[in-house]
Amino acid sequence: MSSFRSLMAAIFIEMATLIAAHAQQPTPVPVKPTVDADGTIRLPAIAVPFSLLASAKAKQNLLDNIHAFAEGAEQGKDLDINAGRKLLDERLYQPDIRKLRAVFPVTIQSERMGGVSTDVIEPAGGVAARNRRRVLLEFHGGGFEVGAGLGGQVASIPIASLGRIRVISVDYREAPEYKFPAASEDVAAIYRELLKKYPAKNIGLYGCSAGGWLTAESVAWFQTHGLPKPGAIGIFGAGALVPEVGDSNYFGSMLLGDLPSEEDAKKFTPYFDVPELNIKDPLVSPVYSPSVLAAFPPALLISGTRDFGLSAAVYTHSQLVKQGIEADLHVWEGAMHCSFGELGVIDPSEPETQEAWDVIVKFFDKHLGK
Amino acid sequence: MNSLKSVNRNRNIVASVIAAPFLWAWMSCIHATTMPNSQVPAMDTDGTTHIPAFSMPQSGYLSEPAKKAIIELEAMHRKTIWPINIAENRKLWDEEFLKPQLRRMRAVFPVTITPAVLGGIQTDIVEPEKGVDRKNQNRILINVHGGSFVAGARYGGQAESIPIASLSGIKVVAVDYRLAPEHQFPAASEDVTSVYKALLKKYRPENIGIYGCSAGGMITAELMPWFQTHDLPRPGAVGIFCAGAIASEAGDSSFIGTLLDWRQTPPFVSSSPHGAAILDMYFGDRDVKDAATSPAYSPSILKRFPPTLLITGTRDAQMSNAVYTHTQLIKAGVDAELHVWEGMGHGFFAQPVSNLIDVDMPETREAWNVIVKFFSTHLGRK
Repeated sequence: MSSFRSLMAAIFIEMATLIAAHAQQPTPVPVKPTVDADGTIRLPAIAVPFSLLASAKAKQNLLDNIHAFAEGAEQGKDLDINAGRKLLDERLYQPDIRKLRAVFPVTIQSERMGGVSTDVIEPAGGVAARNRRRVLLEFHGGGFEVGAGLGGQVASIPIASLGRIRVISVDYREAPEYKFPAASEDVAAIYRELLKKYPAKNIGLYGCSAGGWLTAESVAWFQTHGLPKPGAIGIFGAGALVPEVGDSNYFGSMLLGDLPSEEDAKKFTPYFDVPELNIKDPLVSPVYSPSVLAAFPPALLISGTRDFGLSAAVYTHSQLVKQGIEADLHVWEGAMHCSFGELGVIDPSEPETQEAWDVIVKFFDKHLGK
Repeated sequence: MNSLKSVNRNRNIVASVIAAPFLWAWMSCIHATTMPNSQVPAMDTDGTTHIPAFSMPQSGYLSEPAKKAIIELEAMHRKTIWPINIAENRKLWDEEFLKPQLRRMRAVFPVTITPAVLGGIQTDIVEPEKGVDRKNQNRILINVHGGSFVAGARYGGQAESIPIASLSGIKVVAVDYRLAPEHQFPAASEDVTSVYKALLKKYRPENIGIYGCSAGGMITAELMPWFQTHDLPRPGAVGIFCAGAIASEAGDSSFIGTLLDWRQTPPFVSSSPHGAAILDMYFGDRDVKDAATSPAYSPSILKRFPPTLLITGTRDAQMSNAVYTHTQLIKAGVDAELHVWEGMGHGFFAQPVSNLIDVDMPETREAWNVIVKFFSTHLGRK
């Protein structure tokens, strides 16, 4: 069986060599991957072009993000957390919001709900009749440290406008000022308020990155705090877990010209730096608790081939499916972490981004109660 | 190399999943403890990423049986037979790999296997030993085996059919289609079509499912435009596994999967007009971007696909083709389902000519269950 694989590989080489010789080109000397006894693969240096399956706009957007990434690292290197948050607002979120509001007319109202700050985002033309009794709760990404306020607006504006639905962007408490479970508590406080006005099945939760993770944690939190399950959830760029070292921790990072992450997952973000916290506790990583997963609502998982959250997303998807949950997985080719979300330079005209927004809108429309 | 910027930093794994590069570049400055000074990846202004040599462990998400199976597979991998001779190697695979695999499978999944000629084409009819479920009497599945268009005949198809027939209680017909290098496109499409036409005399099209892995997945996809241009009704549902509706190696995973799964260095792959030189044997010098061979590029063909299941793994060189095909099917309004198994390579659950299929591996069982549930849901019954 494996000799078949070797044989195919040999044919690759033989034919490619012939083709190369025919084209009068020098044949590069291959340095093949080797494998250690424990399954570790040692890989040679390679050059990977941008995916031929992704659009030209996706490629440009990726390059824009890499630029912003390098500049952000330079500008932010001596800043403390609050100055860093301000830098992100100015450099990233405000320009994104300007771009988005030019395309998606919305109203944004700040409102306190259950003692928690939120932004209520509605389409300028009004919520669609079918969505009057529906609402979406959005949790921003940013490592449970940044992204409050404007980051959430970025992730909410296109969905509110395209879906003609009310989206409440939640300013949950972040690290380093607060630790787990502050964010889950804030989500629960808002959810309780909403349940006075909306049936649970009409409420959807979603977020990208830390926001996706928080979405999954919130469902587990509701289960243990006597709250009904929401109608549907969206976990984007993440999984329902504290990540293991998966394949995408290597390739999702390296394909962006970045270093892989090899450290142990148990080194938490500051948010999870809580004494005695068990990372496999269902309130932190629901994916490891089959009975908790089995009570999840329909779930949408979105990732990309260059998203370091891909492994967490596909693993969570397979585990939800195993528990009989209606879970949809969508992976965009060449797409980086939250490429359609709030964590980078957004291009509202990028086809892949539009496709992802369309999938999100249709998913909630299909699964939320009316 | 005109590198935009290489950013040296050290950060924790959790940050890698929760923060985008922009945020993270900054956050990592706060959390950084050391600065590695080894070679770092970098991206050119044209979007090419240069990745230095590095080591990569097995995925932390793998089940213990999967970790073991992949290491065992690696030991097998070293027993390469030289020199390359397709005829000799087909014999070798049959005797040393496929037949033992079939014995292992039949011990777990009791089935009957009956050779039959349908529409002039050799097939094997695989049925659960206890008989086809009453609810599935009017349903049938066609298996199009994998093996890079050059191998996998008979025994490969049987091995791909046994677990599905046994777990689903549906009759499976494994088609022994013509192979390369003796035959070329559209030989396989013609042969599977002959079987399909023969089945249409007894079964409604909506009650027929077609599935295959690797080359079998590509052929399954190519059958949809083939049926459309030959005035044949579409089947009830199709499974494109370990492949996409694209007959070339085109995306990110054609590099990543080639390294991790095929253990080869990618520039060789990309030097072929089809990305993978092996595909030349079947497709010759055809332009495989043509809708007949790569329907994923044709929205008008895609929108007439039946419900479609796509299965791949994060180490499968075909993952990009699979996820791209999925997004394009969704865009075309087709009921398409994508499942990706973390840490798994090409055909981990299906392709006995390139894998040790462990019938107890959770990942394999999960994939089989998804396939069974998919066809149970989407095929007609009447």
